[in-house]
Parts: sequence; structure tokens; C-alpha cells
Amino acid sequence: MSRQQLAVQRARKSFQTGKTKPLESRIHQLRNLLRFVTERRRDIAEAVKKDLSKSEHGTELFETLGVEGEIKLAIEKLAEWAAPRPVEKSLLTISDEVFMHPEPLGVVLIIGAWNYPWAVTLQPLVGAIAAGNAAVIKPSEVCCHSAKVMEELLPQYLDKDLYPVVTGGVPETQELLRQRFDHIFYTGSSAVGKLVMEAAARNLTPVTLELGGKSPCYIDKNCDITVACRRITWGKFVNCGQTCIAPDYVLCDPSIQNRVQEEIKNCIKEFYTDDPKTFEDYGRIINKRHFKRIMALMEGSTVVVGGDSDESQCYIAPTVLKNVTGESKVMKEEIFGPLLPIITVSGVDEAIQFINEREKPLVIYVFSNDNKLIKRVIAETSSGALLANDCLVHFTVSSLPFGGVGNSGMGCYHGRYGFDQLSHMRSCLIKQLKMEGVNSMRYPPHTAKKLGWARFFLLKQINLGRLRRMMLLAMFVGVASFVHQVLFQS
Amino acid sequence: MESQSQVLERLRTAFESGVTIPEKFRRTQLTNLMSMIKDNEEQIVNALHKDLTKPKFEAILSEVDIVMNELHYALSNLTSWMQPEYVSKNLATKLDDCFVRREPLGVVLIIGPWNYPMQLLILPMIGAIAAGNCVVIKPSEVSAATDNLITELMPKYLSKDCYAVVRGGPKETQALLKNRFDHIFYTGSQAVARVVLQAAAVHLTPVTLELGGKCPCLIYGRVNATAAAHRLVWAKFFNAGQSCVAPDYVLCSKATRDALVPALRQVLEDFYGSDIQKSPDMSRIVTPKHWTRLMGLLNRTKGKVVVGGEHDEKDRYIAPTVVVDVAEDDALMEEEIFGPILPILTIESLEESIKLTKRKEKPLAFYVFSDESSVVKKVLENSSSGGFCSNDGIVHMALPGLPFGGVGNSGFGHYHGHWGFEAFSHRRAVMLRGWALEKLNALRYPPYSDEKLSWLRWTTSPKSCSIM
Repeated sequence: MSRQQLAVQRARKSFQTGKTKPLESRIHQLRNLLRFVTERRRDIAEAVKKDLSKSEHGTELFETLGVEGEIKLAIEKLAEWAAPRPVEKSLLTISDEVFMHPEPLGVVLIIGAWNYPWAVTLQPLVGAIAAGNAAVIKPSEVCCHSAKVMEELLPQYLDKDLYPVVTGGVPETQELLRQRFDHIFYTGSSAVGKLVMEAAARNLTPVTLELGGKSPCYIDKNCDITVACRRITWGKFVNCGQTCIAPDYVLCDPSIQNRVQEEIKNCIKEFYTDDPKTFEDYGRIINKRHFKRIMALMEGSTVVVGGDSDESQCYIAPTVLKNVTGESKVMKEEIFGPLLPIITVSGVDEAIQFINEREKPLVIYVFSNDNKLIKRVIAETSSGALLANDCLVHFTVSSLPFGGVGNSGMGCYHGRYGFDQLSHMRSCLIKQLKMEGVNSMRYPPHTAKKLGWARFFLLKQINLGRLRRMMLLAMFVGVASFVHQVLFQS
Repeated sequence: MESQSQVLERLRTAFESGVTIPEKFRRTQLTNLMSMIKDNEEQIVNALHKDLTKPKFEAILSEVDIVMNELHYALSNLTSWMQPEYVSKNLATKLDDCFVRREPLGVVLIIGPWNYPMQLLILPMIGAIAAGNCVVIKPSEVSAATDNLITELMPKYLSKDCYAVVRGGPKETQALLKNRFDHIFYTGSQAVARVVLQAAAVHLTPVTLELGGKCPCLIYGRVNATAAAHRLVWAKFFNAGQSCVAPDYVLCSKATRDALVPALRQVLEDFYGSDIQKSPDMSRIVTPKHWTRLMGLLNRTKGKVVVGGEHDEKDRYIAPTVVVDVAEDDALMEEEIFGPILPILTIESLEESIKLTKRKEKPLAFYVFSDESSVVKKVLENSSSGGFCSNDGIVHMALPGLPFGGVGNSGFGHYHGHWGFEAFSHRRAVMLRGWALEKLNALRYPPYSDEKLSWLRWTTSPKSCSIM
């Protein structure tokens, strides 16, 4: 039996003992996860520094802060999320209990990505634990230091059987995908997303796919361009552009193109100094393969800011490109690097058209003072999310669902959405064996009279407050006994 | 005649024009759909009778009224469903607008089955229309009369640009699945579901699968055998057992079984008379192939037939049949029965029964009959299934407030009522930030520092907004 099979089998056996059902045990694991993130802050930061050259502050800001927030929210809200959810009733079910019962799915597979190795692996795990599942965690092998730390340290805090960490490359992941899971949560590229979904099809396993795309950023010429460019510069060059929701490219009117270029150039200097290469808070490309890929994207466009690189360090300077069109190499795939192309469009109409000619992205950014314009972009485009006048920060609002649509993914998470995504909402109707007389109108032999009554009672829907419900119940009991009498007499 | 790709191109152009977005358009289409059902009730009942010998009563209740009800529900609630949902924020985002918008997905495909050919095709379609999508429906060719009727009626009532019927068998369906849709809604079997999912993976198309399974019916503790028998017979033999949520098999103690079997016999006579084949209230098996399959199960069972067993191949008739002394490895326990055969397995303890159900795949529905609420609770908490109903069968799926769907092998995703609207919508997160407070933003810009970080922690924690 392979290592992967064993891990899944153990997780399933452990899940079947029922130990994840009590809320206290889930909260206990969540508290342990919180302890892990706070106690092992140093280890996590060191690993991320080795993987992505991210500074310790950068790691805390972009990785662990979010995870901590999610864990605390889950602990606080778990009782509310996991409680039975009542729904409205019909006339005939007035005296019955009708509710949705959130239940765990079973064993969930979480496949993490390398760009935020902790955030995109642990945040889904929070949802999985809260919902009462066991989870097999497969960190990306590309961020090898973080994967190693996760493999070594996580089992010291979480139940080893319920939440095993399984590391490995492509063959190991493929072996994992051959096993049966009750849900697969994948963060990564659309290409691999298709393979994951295909593998899941074998076992009819539902999937959540958090993919990517080219997230456009439209700058209206009448907005505060200075502030806009500050926020865009920040959003773009965090993690060296290796963020699924980074503004991929800018669309703006030719009349402001030079100004945008200048402002971004100034911001880069302000944030990352004259020499980002030596600056602690500027990262690196994850590996040589991606370095080469990103460098090749610059072909055919003009570098107006940055452009310098150092392959030995996988360093690419914060770079702005112009003379870019829809056909340029840099527009053929998600950049996932520190290159910011500026494409000129003659107004919001052309911007919307440009965006709609392409696959639905994970997010659309629009910078404008004009609410009507923003509303138009919302109404005439489609994307996972839309953020006006800033970048990235919608990720931090746990009451907003985070996910894609079309090529950028399916399903969503964060906060309660994570809990719901990894639960089964079981519909429950609790009836009694009493009031059988009322049921008789639906039984054969069928008569026209019975049909008339059944049509009225069985299917009419009512949304009621409790008092009105009592009143109606009294009236209904009276009517029901009348009906009962009538039917038994005829 | 239009090819499949021509149909899809037409629908996609219509969707991209934005015509399905306004509420008024959706209301008009839903109202027209209502007229379609109302105006043609008799033809619908006749088509269903042709396909399944469905009694008029069953057709009205489970194919006409349930659809009308769903339409009324959608029309009453459409405005509120379409409203943006404002959400809570943290301190750093207090001055921003954060809401979730429900948006249509685009062009969706709904593949219907043959057992409730109107309901299981039109009910999801209502959700899809309400959510603002263009819809391709593929009725089951097995229920041919209904297929014909829907193909004839739909273009007369609904916008031809936005909604299309595509017909055919497995070959045409496979060709259809090669196209790109924005959502696929499939009701049917596990085997075909795998094919659907694999086709969907090519385009990263999200899917809803409404499948089946063996829905167990546990009868334990103190129980009113007569009342239970009434409800069990009604739920089991409705549509001659060809319902995805029909109680598939019964688990009970010997004593319960001995009280139950005569009650079942009596109820069957009360409902259908002494010559059930002559009763107008009993359906037939849909095709000779399925009739043969069911007779095969009856021939291979090692249990004892105590009620029914009569059959008539030409009429595709199988009498409501009860089989006792059925073991866990019996032929009747291999696959979903989907017919009028009720196996009763005798298991003395509730715990053992629950264990048996855990050895099987998760079903679409789980039933328990008992006057003891502790028994009901125990079963609820130690089982998993799409839905759960105590002391009755099927009726839980008629409540639009409850999501209807499976889990594990019985499917994923759900619909009915608001859930149907959600199934065919994208929940888009929208955040509208202001231009002010740029100084506050400075906390997050490099160069990073410990001080900046601790301020940020405070402003972005969910707790901090309780101060405001």
C-alpha cells in the first residue's frame, strides 16, 4: 500500500470513529492550529524567506495574519454555523420540524499552492476542521521549505491521523488523486484544475477550484491618479506579483498613460527604494523555471520602469511595460510576476469590451470617482469578485465569499463560506405518525374531490410568524377534521 | 433543422446581449412558463400516461402542481433574490460598501430523466431562468411522449433566442456535452454522471448532480404500524417505485415485520383494490428493458415473496411486491431497485441496522419510522444522506424551503426554491472603497515594521468593529 493510500485510510478510519463530531473537539483542533501559527511564527517566516525571499513582516502580513483571523472567527462562530438551520414550512408541515442539518462530508483533500504556502493551505483547513471533516493536506512541493516545515511541525499540534500532511511532487499527487475523497479543495492553475476535476469525476467527488486568470485594472482618467497608482503598485508588487488576485494589467486612456507610468515609478521607489534588489521587503521569483517564463513575456513590449534582473537570485525588478496590445506575449497568459503592462483604451466602453473578450478573471479592479461608471463595469462584466478603488483587500473581509467563476474557478471560501463549502446541508423533515386523517387525501383510490383538497393543502407555501402559525394551526385542525369527516362519509 | 452548435451560438449571442438580465424579462418568461403548464395540463397528463401509465392524480401532484408551485414561489420571491446582500465588515473597511451580488452564469444545460420527465426538467429550469441564464434543456428520450410535448410547446411560450430544447439519445447527448456550458445540471444515474463530470472538466464547468441510491427505511421502537404502512406504501409504490427518493428497502425487527406485513397487505388492498393491475391508480414500468431488469432481481432473490409477485410482460406490469428474509448480500440489495419491490431485512437491533446502512453508499434520502423521538434522533445523528424524513416518505422534497440534493454517490449541489436560483448564479463579491483614509492605508505599505503591523492587526480583526 502506498504512503498516500495509508494516510487516506487512516484519516477515514479516524473520521469514522466520530471524534470530529463534537464541536469541542473541533474547537480544540482549531486552538491547536492557532497555537501552531503563533508559536512557530519564526519557523514559518524562515521557510517563506527561503522559498520566496519574503521578509518576516511580509509573511506575517500576508500569510499568518489572515490564518489567525480565520481561526479566531471559526472558534467564535462555530456553534452558530453548526446549529440546525430552520426553514419555512407549508400548511401541512406546520406542526413538523423542518430544518437543514450541517454535517461533515468525511475526508477532504486540500492541495495548496506555492505563492502563499501557508495562507492558501491553512485557510481551507480551517473550514474543513470547523465543518467536522478529516483532511489530507498536500502542500505544494515547489515551496519546498514551507512544505518541509508543515510536514514536520503540523503533526506536533494537530491530530496526526485526522490531518496528515502528505508531501511530494507530481507522481505523489497523482497517487493521492487516485484515492477516494469526499471533497477536493485545489488552489493553483486552471490547467491542473482540469486534471483535478477529471480525477475527481471517477469517484463523483465535488471540488472547489481556486484558480487564476488575468485580473484587469481599469483606471478612469478623472480619478485621483496618485492614490490609485499607490494602491495598484502595492497590489501588484506584493510577493513579486505572484498573487492570484494581483492586478495583472492596467487599462487606461492614452491621455493619462504617462502620468500613470510616472506615479507608479515614484511609488516603486517609495516602497522598495532605489535598489529593490537589496531591499528586505521585496521578494524573489519562486524558481528558475518561472523566472525564465516571466522574462520571456517581456518580448515585444517596451520597458519603461525597471526591467533589470538577476537569474542567479531569481530577481526581477518591479517593471512597467508600454506599447502593449491584446496580442502581445505578456497578454497571452497570467503573468504571475512583477511585470505591469499598461494598455491604452479610449474609455470604459472599450475597457469593458477588452475584458469581456477574455476569460472571466478572479477579480476586476476599477479606479474611478464616478459611481455610475463603476456600476456599469459591475453590470457588464463577470469575475470572481470586483473591487473598486483598491487592490487585494477584499480578501481580508471574511464575510465576502472568495472564489472564481468560469476559468477562474468554482466554489468559494473564507469565514462561514468555508464552513458551508465543506459541509453537507442535509434537509430534514421530522414528522409524527399522528394526524393520519389529513394524509388520507393523498392516498389512492384517487377521486376528483380528494385531488382538489390535496392540491390546496399539500403544496401551498406560507411564510409565517409564530403567532400567526398558532392561529392557523387551530383553524387548520378545525378544517382538517371537517375534511376528514367529509372524506370518510363519501 | 438547426445543429447543436447553431443553437448554442444563438443562445450565447442572446445572453451576451444582456436580454435575460432585467427582472422584467425573467418574470415574463416565468409567467409564460406558467401559462404553458396551465394551458396544456390535459396534454401533459396524457403524455405522462402514455410514457409511464402515470395515474392522473400522480401526474397532477408530482408533475404539474409541484411545477406551478415552484413558479409561484419564484415569482413571489424573485425581487428579493435578486437584491444585493450587504455583509458585515471590519474596522479597516467600515466606510466601504461590501456586498454579494447574484449574477447569471451564462448558457446552462439541464439534462432530465424519464421518471418525472416534467418535474425534474422544468423545476431546475425555473431556477436557471430566475437566475438570468439562457437554458438548453435535454429531455429524456425514454419518456418519448413527454419529450415530444415539451419540444412542441416550449418555443410557443418561451423566448426562442434564450431557451432551446435539444433532443436525442446517448450519442446526441455526448456530442452536446463536448460544447462549453457555464453550468451543467444532470439528473440520473452514477454511470452517466461520471461521463458528464469528465466532459465538464474539459471546460472547468461547474456541475450539479442529482443521482440516486438505495434509500433505507428503518422502523424501530414503538410504532403505529397502520399509519406507518399507509405512508410507506404511498411513498414506495408512487410511480411504481420509480422515484429517486422512494424508500428502497426496510430494516426492522422480526416483531415489527410481523406486524408490518399484514398492515402492508391491507393498505395495498385499500389503495388499489383486490386486483391491482385493474386499478387506474398504479403506474407501469417505463420500458421492457427495466421490466426485465426488475423481474431478474425477483428471480434471483433468496428471500420469500409474501405480498404480490404478479407480473405481466406485455403490460409492463409488476404488482407491488414485498419480499422478506432478505440478507445483506441478496440480489435485491445490489443496486437501486427503482421499482415496486420492497425487501424487508430483519435486524433485531437498531445499532446493527445503522451499521448496515453505513456499509453502503450515501443515499439521496434516509427514512425512519418511529413514535419514539430518541430513535429518530439516533438515526439522524448516525447516518448521512441527501435528505432525511421521519415518519413519512418523499414529502420532504416538496418543501421549497429545503434544499434538495444528494451527498457522496447520491450527488452534489442542490435546488428547489431559493436554492435553485443560487445553483445557477455566481455569488460575486463586490467591495467599493473610498478614496479617503489613504493615511490608514499607509500601514500596509512597505517598508514594513512591527508598529505598522500591530495597528493593522487591530483594524482588520472582526472584533474591533463591535466598538463602532
